[in-house]
Amino acid sequence: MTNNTLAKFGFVVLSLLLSGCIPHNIIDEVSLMHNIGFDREKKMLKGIVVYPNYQQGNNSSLISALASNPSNLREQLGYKSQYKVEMGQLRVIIFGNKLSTYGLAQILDTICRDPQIGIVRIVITNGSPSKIIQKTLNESPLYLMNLIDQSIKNEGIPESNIHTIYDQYFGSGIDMSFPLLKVDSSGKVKVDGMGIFKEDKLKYKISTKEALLFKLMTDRNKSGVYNLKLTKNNDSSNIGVRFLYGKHKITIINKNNREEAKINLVLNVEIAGLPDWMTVENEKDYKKIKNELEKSISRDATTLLNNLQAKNVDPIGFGRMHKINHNKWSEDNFYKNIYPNMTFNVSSNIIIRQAGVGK
Amino acid sequence: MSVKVKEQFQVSTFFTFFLVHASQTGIGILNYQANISKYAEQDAWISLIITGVSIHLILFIIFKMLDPHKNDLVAVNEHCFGKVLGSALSILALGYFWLASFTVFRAYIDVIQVWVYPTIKTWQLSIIFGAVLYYIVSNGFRVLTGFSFWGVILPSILFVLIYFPMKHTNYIYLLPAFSHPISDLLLSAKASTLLFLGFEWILMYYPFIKESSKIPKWAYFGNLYTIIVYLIVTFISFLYFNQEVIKELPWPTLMMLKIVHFPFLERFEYIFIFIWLLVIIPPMCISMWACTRIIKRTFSFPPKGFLILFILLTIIASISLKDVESVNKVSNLSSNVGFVFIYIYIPLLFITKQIKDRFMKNKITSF
Repeated sequence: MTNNTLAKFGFVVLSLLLSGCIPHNIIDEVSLMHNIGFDREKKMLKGIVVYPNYQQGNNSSLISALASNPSNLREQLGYKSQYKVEMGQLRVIIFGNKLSTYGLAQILDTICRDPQIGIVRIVITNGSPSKIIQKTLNESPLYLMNLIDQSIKNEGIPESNIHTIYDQYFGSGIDMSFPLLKVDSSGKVKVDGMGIFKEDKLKYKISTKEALLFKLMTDRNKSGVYNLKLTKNNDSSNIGVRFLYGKHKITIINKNNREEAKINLVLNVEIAGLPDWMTVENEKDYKKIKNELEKSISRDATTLLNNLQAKNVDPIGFGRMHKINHNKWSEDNFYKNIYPNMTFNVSSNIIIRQAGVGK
Repeated sequence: MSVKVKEQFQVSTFFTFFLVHASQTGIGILNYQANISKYAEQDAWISLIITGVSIHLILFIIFKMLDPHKNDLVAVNEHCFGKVLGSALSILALGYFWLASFTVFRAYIDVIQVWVYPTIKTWQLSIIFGAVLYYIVSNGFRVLTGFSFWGVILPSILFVLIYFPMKHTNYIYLLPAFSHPISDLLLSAKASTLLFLGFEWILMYYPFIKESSKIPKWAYFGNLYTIIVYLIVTFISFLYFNQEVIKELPWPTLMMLKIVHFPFLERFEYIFIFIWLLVIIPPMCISMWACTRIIKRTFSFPPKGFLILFILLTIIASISLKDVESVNKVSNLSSNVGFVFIYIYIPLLFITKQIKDRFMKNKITSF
């Protein structure tokens, strides 16, 4: 063996040996948390953490701790855990009602700057997060994440993850919004609308129906089911309209010294469960459904926008839309003087793509 | 005064493309967004184009200076300022090249400490990277060229990752466009110089490339590709992040990669960080190689001993930089020195050489 090959061989052996030196974590021996809840209790920050306990079958363990600030909280949780607490697999963060109304600034600042935290879903609840976590303790560790994912992907909840939070929290001209979780009467966890924030404080809650309209005006993904009441002669019936895909366009124009927001929606829908006395093949019925739907969506959306305006919250981001045409834009001025006087003009265009295969 | 390099140590001309581009893409691409958008905000992409085009001009000057004989920086310095002063200037250039190598070295260690292993010690990583540096640089220029090749191919493969953040982009972040005065654009252009630095090492490796007549073409292509790559990354990150968010997040490129998600792989940015080692090897090593080359050309000393000395210096310096701020300070210093080197020193050297050449020609004809 020449000197040169010996050196090369040495490098290979060295790299194999050194690869054992990196810090490693064995999955059974870390508290790999999946869900974490934050709330305020006795003027302190409370953290509730669930982690799967792989050494004892498929059971999840729960620990909670009180501390004055987020990093201290992590330390306190560490004292109560038998293994090292790791944030690497965090999927869902739940904020309790008390904390949301008190303000999330301190904790959001910490979360957004932690390189260990990946893309997590952030949600709020109208009670204490421990209630939600208790209810899902016996489910699989990813149950909560899948639940939220599902309602964002297929139902009418707008996209909400840490990326959109960066955008809404640090960015100006838009307010934060999070999906709202609650435990229903049968003891199941469900997504129930959205919570809208002003700065870092919870200001207003909207229902799932309003959340769907909100989604239509902000997201690329427009899935969700809209309920429409149809009447013809003496019959009346509720039908479900599923949004397949579509586009939204928001422009802000100045009209008689007042800013007017024009929202234009183009929606492709599928209609399921038409009553006997109506068919899509019938030209007149088709037009009626289309018109009613367009009118109803525009009316509901305008109502939602007026409600948001009355509370002076702007989750849609009209401020941001206004900013792009004004070089010297100030957030204060917009929300004090311009936004309260804004008028909304929603127009929607419905294209009925499918009407089921029955009949 | 031409420098003769044996053909067995030379590389084919088209490798200039890889050498130029690979030595430009380094650690800067992971966190440059906040720096360049400090002044021009959403218009900072214009500043990038300004810098990129100015680099083309500097490259043009460099090739004018090095031709018609195959020269390098040491030869030009000697020609213009004589043996003593010329050597002193070459040593100063050596200092800058070392600083450039050290900046990449320390910044990469910083990335690993912040993102992957918060508790790992600086000296542990320094020694490992120091060994890698020695192993690659001591094998000569042709090996460096090979690494440059992979330093271009690998990040190009990673470009498919754009697909993931593309789904969350919003065009309104680029508006209002063209809303900043030219002074802001120029300030941002100055801040983006660090991204393009690295091409100037061609001053040292120029004689190692075979056909000198075709070198400029490939070097311009290399720089053009750099501009395109940076523009794409800038556009994607400006479309993905609001300007206000970019100010808050220190590592926008890595933050953007968090959205990359595979069923079998939760956190892609970790893999990205380690693949990036192959991308930072060319800038780190070529500048180190240029240092040893300057030593060899000015003093005719055997370069290997000096290579060990320089690497020891790098390791010691990187251990002595302890806090977070100092890493930023070093990259700022390196950016400023580089700015002076390419925009002031090289044009001045070029003008001196032109004057000297004309003066000498006149002298000859007058006899």
